[in-house]
Amino acid sequence: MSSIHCSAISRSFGGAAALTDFDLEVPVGSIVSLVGPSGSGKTTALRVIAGFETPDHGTVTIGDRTVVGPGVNVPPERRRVGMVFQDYALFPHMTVAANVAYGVDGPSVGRVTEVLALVGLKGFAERFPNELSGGEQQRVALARALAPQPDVVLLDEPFSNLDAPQRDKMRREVRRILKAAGATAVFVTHDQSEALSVADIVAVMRAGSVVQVAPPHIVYAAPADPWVASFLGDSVLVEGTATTGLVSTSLGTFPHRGGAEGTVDVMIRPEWIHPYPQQNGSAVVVDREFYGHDQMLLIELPTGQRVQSRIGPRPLLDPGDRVDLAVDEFVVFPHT
Amino acid sequence: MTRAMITIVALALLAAACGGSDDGSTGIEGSTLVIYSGRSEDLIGPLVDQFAEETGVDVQIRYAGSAELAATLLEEGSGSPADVFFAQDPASLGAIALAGMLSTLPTGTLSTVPEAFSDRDGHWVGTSGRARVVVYDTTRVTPDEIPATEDGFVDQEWKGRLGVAPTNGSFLAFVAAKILLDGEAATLAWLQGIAANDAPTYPKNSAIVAAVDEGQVDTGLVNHYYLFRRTAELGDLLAENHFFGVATAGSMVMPAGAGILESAANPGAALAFIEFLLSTAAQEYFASETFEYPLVPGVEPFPGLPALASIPTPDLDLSELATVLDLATDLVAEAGLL
Amino acid sequence: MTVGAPIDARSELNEPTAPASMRAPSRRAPWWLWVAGGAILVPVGVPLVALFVRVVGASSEAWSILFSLRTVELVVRSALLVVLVTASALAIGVGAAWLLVRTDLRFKVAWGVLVALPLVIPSYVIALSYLAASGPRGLIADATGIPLPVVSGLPGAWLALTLSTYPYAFLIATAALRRFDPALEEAAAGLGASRARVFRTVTLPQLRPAMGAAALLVGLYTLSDFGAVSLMRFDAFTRVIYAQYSGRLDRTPAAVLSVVLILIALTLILAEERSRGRAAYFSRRATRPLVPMHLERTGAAAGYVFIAILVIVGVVLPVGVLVAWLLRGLAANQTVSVQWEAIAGSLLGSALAAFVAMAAAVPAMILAVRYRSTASRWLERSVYITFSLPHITVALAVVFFSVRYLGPLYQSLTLLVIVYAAIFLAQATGATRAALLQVNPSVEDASRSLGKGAFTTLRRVTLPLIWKGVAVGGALVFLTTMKELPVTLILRPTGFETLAVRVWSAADELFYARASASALVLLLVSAVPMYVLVIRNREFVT
Repeated sequence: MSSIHCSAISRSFGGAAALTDFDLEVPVGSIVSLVGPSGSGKTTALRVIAGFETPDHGTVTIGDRTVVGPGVNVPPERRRVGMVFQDYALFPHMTVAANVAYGVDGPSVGRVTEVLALVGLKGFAERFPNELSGGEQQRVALARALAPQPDVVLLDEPFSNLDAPQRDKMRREVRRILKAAGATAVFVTHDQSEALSVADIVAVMRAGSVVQVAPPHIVYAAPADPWVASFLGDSVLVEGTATTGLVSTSLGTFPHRGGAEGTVDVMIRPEWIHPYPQQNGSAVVVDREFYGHDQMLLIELPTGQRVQSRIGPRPLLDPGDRVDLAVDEFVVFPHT
Repeated sequence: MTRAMITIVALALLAAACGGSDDGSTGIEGSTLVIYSGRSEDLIGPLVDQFAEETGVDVQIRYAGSAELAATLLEEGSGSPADVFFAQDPASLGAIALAGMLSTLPTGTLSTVPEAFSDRDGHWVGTSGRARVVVYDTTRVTPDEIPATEDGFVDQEWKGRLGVAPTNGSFLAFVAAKILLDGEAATLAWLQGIAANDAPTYPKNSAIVAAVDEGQVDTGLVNHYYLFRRTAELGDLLAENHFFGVATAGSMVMPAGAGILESAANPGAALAFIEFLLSTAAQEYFASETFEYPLVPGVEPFPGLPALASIPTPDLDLSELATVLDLATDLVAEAGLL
Repeated sequence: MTVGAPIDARSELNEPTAPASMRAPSRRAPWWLWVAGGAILVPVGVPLVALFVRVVGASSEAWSILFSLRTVELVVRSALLVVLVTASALAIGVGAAWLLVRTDLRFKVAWGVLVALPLVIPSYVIALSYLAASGPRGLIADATGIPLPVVSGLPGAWLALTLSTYPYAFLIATAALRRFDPALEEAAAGLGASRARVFRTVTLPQLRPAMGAAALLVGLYTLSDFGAVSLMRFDAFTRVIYAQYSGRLDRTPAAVLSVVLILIALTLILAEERSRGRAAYFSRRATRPLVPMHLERTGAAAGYVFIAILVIVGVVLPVGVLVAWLLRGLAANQTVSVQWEAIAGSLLGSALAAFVAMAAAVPAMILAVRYRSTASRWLERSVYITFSLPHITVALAVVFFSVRYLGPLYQSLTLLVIVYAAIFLAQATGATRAALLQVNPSVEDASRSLGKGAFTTLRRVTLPLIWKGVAVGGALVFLTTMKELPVTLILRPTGFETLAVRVWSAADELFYARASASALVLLLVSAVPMYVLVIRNREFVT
């Protein structure tokens, strides 16, 4: 397996820019998720790496080979990139075994058996794609991509065609398989929870370029800007005033070591807001959604502003309960 | 010994007789002759086979419509593989002659048929005659009612009762003849009159005869022999032929004919074929199998047909027909029949 | 200040998120594909170029026909015929297809073949048989004593051409209906839509691309037909073009008129392209098997009656007339013999034409569907234009060209087969296009990502998936070549016989019995591949 290095990729389709100055670094053996809203260019980026799109500018290097660059454009069949398509694209006229063996040069029976075992489909060799369930088809697609021992594996919205129960199961499965194979993988998704749970590194895209690349816990807790913050999870945004060492908001005044002065935007995750039931609490619970393992509360501040707070199942708070709020983490952004 | 001598002499005589019967066509045996025939295989196939057998010539014959073959020959030009063009009507032959693609036939061959039925410049010779007639539905029309000439059909009483085939070569030749005989203006007036009379139009003569016999139209301008063909096929008919009593364009006898291509690769066999068409055997074939008029004097037409000499034909130079052919087509189109 | 909403108010840029099949290709087609696909331009283009050359050198007189009232009249009449025939052929074809695929009527194998059979009957034979059967002294009047009006003119041409062409619509619609996802209709029905409403609002729109393709074939065929139109004495374009060819030394006016015909054809072609929309109709999951709809007694009876009428009008009547003529002629001592040469010639020419057409259609359609470009679009359009030309125009253009530039190829079987393939190629390309659109293009991308180049992908993935659809196109070419006449007459090797030529030459001279015999043999011989096409191909029968 190899690393991937994309540098300054840009691509336009008839006047509309799909990728603008796209950079991405994928270390060997890591799983990177490319996440963003529709139209952010993530699928185009994937297809550029695979060779199905040619960028207008920029370079792509796989391992130590430049596959796209000035004067270089290696066609997809010579890039040794394994790809799992959104609709799996299994060859309907071939058996599972024939599908998996397709990319393997030379005698393939052993490799096919090995890879089918890896994806948990032992015994499926003689079936046809139209006899398989969605999850099984996806595993065959993955096996087929892995069988020729590619340098990297690319997955295009791999879970979007599965229904909810299958999805959770397959997410864990696919991560296990990729890790077992030691694969360098990039997968594209618009689902933020998927991006966070499956990947080692998250690359957030917006409007054709990458706005933040970091491990999931960092990108979640320290987003690069308010947009990333709200895209990757629930967030509360309040205005605040920063002075030396302090920032004051409608939720309270907190110590703050950043050098910002004047008006700022403060982002707080719901799970960082802790309500304490108080007889004359300053805020009041307005609504509650109970999820079993946690509660999502809607709390109204004295200013009239409403914020979300996520707490565990106990104590169970009801609408109408008065509370005081404490905040144990926050992120400060310059005011826009 | 004597017996052997007699045998040898007999064989020699036999050989001489066989060799002699080729009269003039020795040297063409085994050669290839390419004929473009606008006359269908069903009509002349047996005749061609006979020729091939007698002469040993390898005959390669293409059958198609005369008009299509003329058009093809014009497109082919001097690169054409054809040796002989055997056409159904003088219009097609004239078109090729006008383009300078036919060579001149020997006077001996030309003189076999009356002058009136061949090209005046000798580029093609008539092989059988086809008289223009009015075919009529005997259940709805009597011969006295039919006008003396084709001009009568523009009268109101014939509205919708005369069928014509404006795209047919014979009809166009007839119109060309009318231009030569009666002038352009009169011909156009006649055509317009026919069109104004809602004359039903048909793609070919056979369709008109069928329509008349089936009661779909009362009369039609056709060639005489279709009636006989249909009788042979279907038995007694309700249609009959009527010959005009005066010399007019509508009473023309138009020959089918043949000519040798200037670019022919085998002019010897070509001439032999044409002379074969003018032989008594072939002429009798035309009379009895295709019901056309034999043109060589001495051969009788099919019983029931008026004698050729008795038909009042107009005095016309057939080779001039080709010169006004384009005009004829224009007039027919202008009258709205095309 | 809102909770949870993105701060950035800039609107998202529109990335092309259309399915892969609709994306503009960002890689170029391999050179060999262009060579293979472009090669068809030679036979398809020769008639067009020859026409163009003729027209450019035309005198102003010749051009004046273009603007005469008569020409306008002709355009209107031809257009009217095209509209009428297309409407009726589509209605009948789709109706019959729906009965075949979606209901539980019985004896489908039998009537499936019979309904498609008129495709193998030459349009001039259909016209001839109706002319003979109708009228106050026609065969029907003779047999039953009921004098019928003569079938001719516009109604006659409309009838004959509808019968000749509705099988196109039938075959295409059948294949399209087989591919449907029944879930859509079940959903509509579940929402309370009546059957008729479901048909109108769900089934018909899904059929749109198929109907567009069928309409184009029917319309262009109607434009090019000469036999039926001339026999029915309807003043359409082809009739006049033909007359110009047969009446003149100067072939320019005919060329000018042919150009007008091309313009009409182009209008139809562009209209069909518009109607295609952005359909990408490969299915992404395995569809449920179709459950045929059960017809109640009256519904079933209506269905059977419809089919019976169709079979009687389209097959029984023409065949009946042919048999009657044959018997009458035999009774009058006409001789009829089996024409083995003609049978062999027909089969050989048609089979070769079918293979050439299939081989040509595949690269051309891959270019048009997977590597769309202006050039590939015009390649496809030119195929349809040549399909719309009267065959005599094509034949004479090829004569002109090949006598001068192709020497020994002139009047050879090779040239004849190539020209057959060129004039009927549109049928093969239409079927191939439909087959290609059934293939998920991701599958081809997958093959390339697994290390196989364009040619291997074509061979191992694309071809196995489309060959059945391509074969349908080949079968159509086979059947139409069997009945082709003008090109055969003019371009065939001397001595090369076909059944269609036999029918024509006999009928021309009123040898009706012989003509009928040849026509019946033509029907029988064509019925075998028709059977294979309809029955063997699982695409067609439930």
